Amino acid sequence: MNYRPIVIHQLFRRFVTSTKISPKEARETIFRDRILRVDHAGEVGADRIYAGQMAVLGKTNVGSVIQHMWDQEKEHRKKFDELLPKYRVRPTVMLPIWNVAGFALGVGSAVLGPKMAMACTAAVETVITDHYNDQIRELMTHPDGNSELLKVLSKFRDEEIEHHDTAILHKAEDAPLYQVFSQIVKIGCKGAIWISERM
Amino acid sequence: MALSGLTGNVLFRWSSTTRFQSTDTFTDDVDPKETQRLKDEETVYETQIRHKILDAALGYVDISGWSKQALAEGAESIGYPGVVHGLFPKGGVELVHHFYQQANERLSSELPADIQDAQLDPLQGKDDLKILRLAIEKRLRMNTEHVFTGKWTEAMGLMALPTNAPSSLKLLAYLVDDMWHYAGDTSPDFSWYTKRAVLAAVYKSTELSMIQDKSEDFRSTWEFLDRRIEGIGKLRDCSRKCEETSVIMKGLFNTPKTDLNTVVIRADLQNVKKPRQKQVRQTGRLDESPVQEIPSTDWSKYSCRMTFALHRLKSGMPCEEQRRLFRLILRCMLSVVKP
Repeated sequence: MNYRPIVIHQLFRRFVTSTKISPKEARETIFRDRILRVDHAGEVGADRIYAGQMAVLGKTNVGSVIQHMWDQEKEHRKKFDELLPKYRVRPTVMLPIWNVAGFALGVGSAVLGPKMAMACTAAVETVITDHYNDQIRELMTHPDGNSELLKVLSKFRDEEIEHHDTAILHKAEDAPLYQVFSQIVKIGCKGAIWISERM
Repeated sequence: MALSGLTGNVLFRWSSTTRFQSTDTFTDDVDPKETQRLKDEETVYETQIRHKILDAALGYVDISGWSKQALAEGAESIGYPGVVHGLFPKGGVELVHHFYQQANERLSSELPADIQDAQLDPLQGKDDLKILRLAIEKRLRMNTEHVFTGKWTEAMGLMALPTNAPSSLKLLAYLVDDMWHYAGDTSPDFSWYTKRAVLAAVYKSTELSMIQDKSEDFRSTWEFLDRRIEGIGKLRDCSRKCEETSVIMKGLFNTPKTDLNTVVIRADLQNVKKPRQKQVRQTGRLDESPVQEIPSTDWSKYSCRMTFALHRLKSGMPCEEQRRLFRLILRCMLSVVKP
């Protein structure tokens, strides 16, 4: 994914009638809100995908691998559950839908076999990693006050890369129609990210 | 021919000059960060002036209402020309929004101290309804001066106009968000929205009741508010019960499958109809207080007990223990179904 700075159109609407907060601060606050909201939505979705895969493949030999990744995603989700109230960010409106869609994606890919499940994991984690990288780059432009967030994001980014590598290691690329399937999943994920940032 | 040559010439020159102009503007050394900073400074400066005028105009609301008239009078009183009300294209409603916003800011700065004074703890989770009640009353009391003069009715009407409704709703949303925040809400899921929607409905209806209230110190409004807060409590109890039921249902479907399963269930079905004394004697410490003695209206106790029993249920435990738990669950279920 290309590096594209995020343009925020509805700038400091919230703060426009207030003198207590400068436009620059308002812009940064809104930017941080967006990051937290979309990441929270992403982790909820990932958690649900693994839950769906576990529901089908839990008893097979890849079960322990998926369980390990699922546990890490649960950790991520818990962290963002804490961060949202801390920074007073609202969760995205689409959360119930991501909840169902994530589970459906997990079950759907797992039903097609463990390789397909791994291909799905690889595609999702690629998009998420790229997205984390973009965010980290954006945050690095004004790192003061964002050190905690940067630390959390880079830690999670590393773990997502690890998941991606695990999936490739478990023969994700041998899945039938790997390229087509992963492209579809990637487009879906990017669409979800686009919506979650805005709603 | 000459004409076309002329026009061609003119066109060429025109386009070349425009091209020159455009390159001129692009070759200027414009640092985007610097432009942004200048823009920000301008915004801040303008906002400050607007605030000064709006603050001054608030004093004229009692006489001229929420209108351009009041804005002009306010501007004149601090030395700006009256026509400066053109800074506020939406007119009087900007005055209302300014008042609203200021009250919101005052609330969010004063509320933490008030919560401490009332000895409530937002972290405990039990006090949140009391905190919300306190916050709503405090916020509504900030409107009292305009309610007395009858201007607040006018303001509410202005805010409800379709063109003004979006920004009014936004202000209301931030208000209830502040209230929930200080009440210690940390929900990261969809209940974030439902909580705020419920509180907004309560706030708005109490505000409506306030403008009709003729009693001393708005006593009937606060009584109204108490009833609504009680309603929120009931709503929450209801949703909690639903959650419990879902947990129970999940537990029922996930119960460990042993080969004794069918036998146990059949035995228990027979057992349920037997007189109660025997059950009490048979069952040990888990249900020392007999289930039937609990008032039948409060079925959350049954479900609690049932969930407890379901969590105790393991696949490896001795048969006797399992039977006992199953019996308890079945009895709870029956008393839920027909109290």
